[in-house]
Amino acid sequence: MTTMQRNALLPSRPTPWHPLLWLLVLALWQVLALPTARAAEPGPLVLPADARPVNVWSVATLLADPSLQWGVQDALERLPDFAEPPSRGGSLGVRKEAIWLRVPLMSRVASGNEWIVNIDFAVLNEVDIYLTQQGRLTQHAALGNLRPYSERPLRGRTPAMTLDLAADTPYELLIRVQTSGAMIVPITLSKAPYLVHRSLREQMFQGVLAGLALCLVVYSFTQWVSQREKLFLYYCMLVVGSAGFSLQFFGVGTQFLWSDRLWIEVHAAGAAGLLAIAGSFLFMGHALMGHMPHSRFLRVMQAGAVLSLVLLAAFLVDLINTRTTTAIISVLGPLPSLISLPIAVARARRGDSVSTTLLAAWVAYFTAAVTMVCLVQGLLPVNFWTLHSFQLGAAADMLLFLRVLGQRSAALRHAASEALRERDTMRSLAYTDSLTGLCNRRGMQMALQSALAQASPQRLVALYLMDLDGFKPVNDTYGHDVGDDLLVAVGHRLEANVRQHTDLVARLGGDEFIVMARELATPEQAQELGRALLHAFEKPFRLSHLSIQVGLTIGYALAPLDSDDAQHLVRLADAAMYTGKESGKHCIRRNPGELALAS
Amino acid sequence: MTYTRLSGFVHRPVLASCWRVACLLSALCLLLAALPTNARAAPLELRDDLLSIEAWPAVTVLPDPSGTLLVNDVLAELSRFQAPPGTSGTLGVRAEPVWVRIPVTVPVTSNGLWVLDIDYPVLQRIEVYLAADGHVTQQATLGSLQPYTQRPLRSRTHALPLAMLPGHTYDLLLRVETRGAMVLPITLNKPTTWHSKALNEQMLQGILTGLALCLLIYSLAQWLNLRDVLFIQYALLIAGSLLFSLHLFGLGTQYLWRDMPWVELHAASLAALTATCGSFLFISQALAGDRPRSWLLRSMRGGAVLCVVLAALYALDLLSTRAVTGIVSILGLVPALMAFRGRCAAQGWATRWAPPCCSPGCCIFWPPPRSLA
Repeated sequence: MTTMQRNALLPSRPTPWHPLLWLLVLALWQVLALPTARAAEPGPLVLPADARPVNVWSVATLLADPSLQWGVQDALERLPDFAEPPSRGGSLGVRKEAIWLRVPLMSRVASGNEWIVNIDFAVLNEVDIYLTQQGRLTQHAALGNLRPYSERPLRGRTPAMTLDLAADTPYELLIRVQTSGAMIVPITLSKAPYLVHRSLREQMFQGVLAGLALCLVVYSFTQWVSQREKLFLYYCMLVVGSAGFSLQFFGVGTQFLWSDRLWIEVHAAGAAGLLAIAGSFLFMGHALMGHMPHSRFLRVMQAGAVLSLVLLAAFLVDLINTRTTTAIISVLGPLPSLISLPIAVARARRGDSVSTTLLAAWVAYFTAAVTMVCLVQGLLPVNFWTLHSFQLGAAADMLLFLRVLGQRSAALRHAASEALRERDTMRSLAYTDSLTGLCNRRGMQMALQSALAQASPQRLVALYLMDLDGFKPVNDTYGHDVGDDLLVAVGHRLEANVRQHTDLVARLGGDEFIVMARELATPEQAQELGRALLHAFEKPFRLSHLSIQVGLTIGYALAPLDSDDAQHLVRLADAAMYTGKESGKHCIRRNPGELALAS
Repeated sequence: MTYTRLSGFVHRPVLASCWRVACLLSALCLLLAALPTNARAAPLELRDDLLSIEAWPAVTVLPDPSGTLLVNDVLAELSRFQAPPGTSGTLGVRAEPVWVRIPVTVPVTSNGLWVLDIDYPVLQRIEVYLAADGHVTQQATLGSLQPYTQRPLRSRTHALPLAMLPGHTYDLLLRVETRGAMVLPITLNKPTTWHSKALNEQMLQGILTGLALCLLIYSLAQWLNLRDVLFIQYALLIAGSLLFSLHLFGLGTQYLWRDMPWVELHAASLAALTATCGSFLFISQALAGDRPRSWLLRSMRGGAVLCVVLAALYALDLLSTRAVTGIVSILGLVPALMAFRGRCAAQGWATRWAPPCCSPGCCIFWPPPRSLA
């Protein structure tokens, strides 16, 4: 099947692409799919004296070699058979046969290796460049990504060779290309300064994208390690696969990472592609339905990831070949996005920002994919934008997915702070008296234990147990509501008369309160604090229209002087208070252990 | 006052031993400088199988304080060239132009095609003369202040293809003039080797730029998402450091401010001031952001404002490059040192962050020759 026939079949395939894109593809096909014809004997391409680059496709003719067996002499014998190419954009589609390109050229001056022929596409399997003069071979270079990198005359990403041309002599430049993938052949003839400029610019571009990917991989991996959030690991897989594919596709891997290791060169793209697809299945599944682990959608996405990884393993042990893997990747590639699309659209309509971001990423992905398909099929010319479309689309995807990670991180932080707040509320409820908002018995016990651990004769802890005098008549006269209001007011008054950071007021129940005071230097200071509390109750309490007077009886004990045990301290204070009640109320009593305990 | 405070941190015996080492090193340098220098360095043999040759062993120099020597004057007085003093690969900071001579011989087996490369992109003007038998056979002017589009090889570094005849001897003469440090990592390379090395270095620079860009994008995105001012301060720090690095390694000239002499002249100091401003803000926010009345936060924010004022004065040409370079060299260290003062809050944190924060200031003043790095 020829490329044109294959192209003709393209529109009939059911795909989810936007109709406008198909119109664009059809229009381009109409323009580009012109019938080929045997070329008239072409005039030579005269190389300019200045440093302008020359686009070889302006004069190139081509001839297919289905046998894959021809040598340069066979091609030279068939020079009249070379025909016009189907397009002069530089892409010849996917071809099983070897293609010979013929470029007659001539230089007005002896070039002295100044001119360089460069094919700016790294993943052509075999590229042979022959320079011949009057049927005689003068130069040859065996290039291509499946040939040894160390034998390249110019060690760069792409196949290139210098040409040594004599003045005013006609040459035939013959280039044989054979490759299992797309035959994209952007050939230029240029002098060294131009090639240096172009190649350095491209190298910089590839470096920036590689650095970006490296940063994202390190970031997501460390986040996964520290947070144990799977989404980061899936993102990491996705970036590793996507960047690995680009490293192979643009020859950077061959140049720096796996020079002369053909097995890796053959397997890198397929393996990276399948890893990226597995990562996509997992990432999108988890981003959309990670909170529902038993959903059907998530299971389908996980099955897709497992399938991709199984295929990856089969590819690595050579159970499936590169061509089959390429076909599988073409089919599997869009599936994660397509399966997720309905859910993402529905959620985006409800204002879900993660889904909106994913949709934006898919728009970038599909635009890039369509451009790449058109380039591979020879429907779009080779230029910077078409050649890098997929890489740019993938980079945009990675950055947009990074936003998804950010949103997920924010959600996690929010959930964590909510949980913390909820826990604090629960704890607060457990240790707080619901009526007065003061600590309850449990809260006081905890605080007392903690304070006793730090108590010393120079840093005394005083525990005041106090009971209101005349509270029961208030309840009986005005009712329980007024009684409750009075208890709240008592709490406030006690709090207003203790020190802010060292003392704690709690309600034990009924009309019993307890005050713990820390950091007291002497027993006299404790006595003084108790008197201050007593003094505070000499004024009546004002509750709306009522003025109520209640007294206070305080019993207290000091730690560690009287006891260093919490329970014992409370009992000592209780006994002191009881004694105070018996001896006339509204007084303060200390129990250094002399007063009898209640039980 | 600052000095007194800082010296308080250094233990006296340590100071004393540092002082002794410094004295010894100075004496050694003086001794080396006083030794008779060999003005007749052996010519470099440009054998094709060597691929890349370090030129420094064959370098001799002739300072030109008056700035009036022409190539013919120099060719007539080759005997006045002296071996360079000090460290290999650098002539230090010099206000005057310096002539550099590299004698080379081309064996008959070589094709005579070599590329001269000087891998220090911020050199401002380099005149290159290739002379044989007292006559100039090839000449070119390189340098960061020359139009980029007129470079013989449009790359990060200063490079020139040389065409020499096999079996001949040449004098390669360079007249170097620059306001900053005169670092001269000069090599002679076969064209294919030069190309391959240039590609490798470009990839490295690309990766580092990509990493910095990623951090910049991340911190800006985090700032937009969380509205935490720490992230925008970090972005400012990264942006300054990135711009400084882009300038130092020639990538700014190559891609961003091509043929813009004003930017080329001002980029380093403005970038360093931006990074220092970012350092002041970022470090103070991280250490004392929760205490708006702390002396650390207030004084470091004052430092940031000072950076902005200095940048404005410098951009309006009210301050000279030399003055700003001096100020930045000291100011660049201040955020990290102040962080040490406030280390009670986060001692380990300050130790971790000090080196990147002060790096731009250090680089301006003491740029290491990268051929030695």
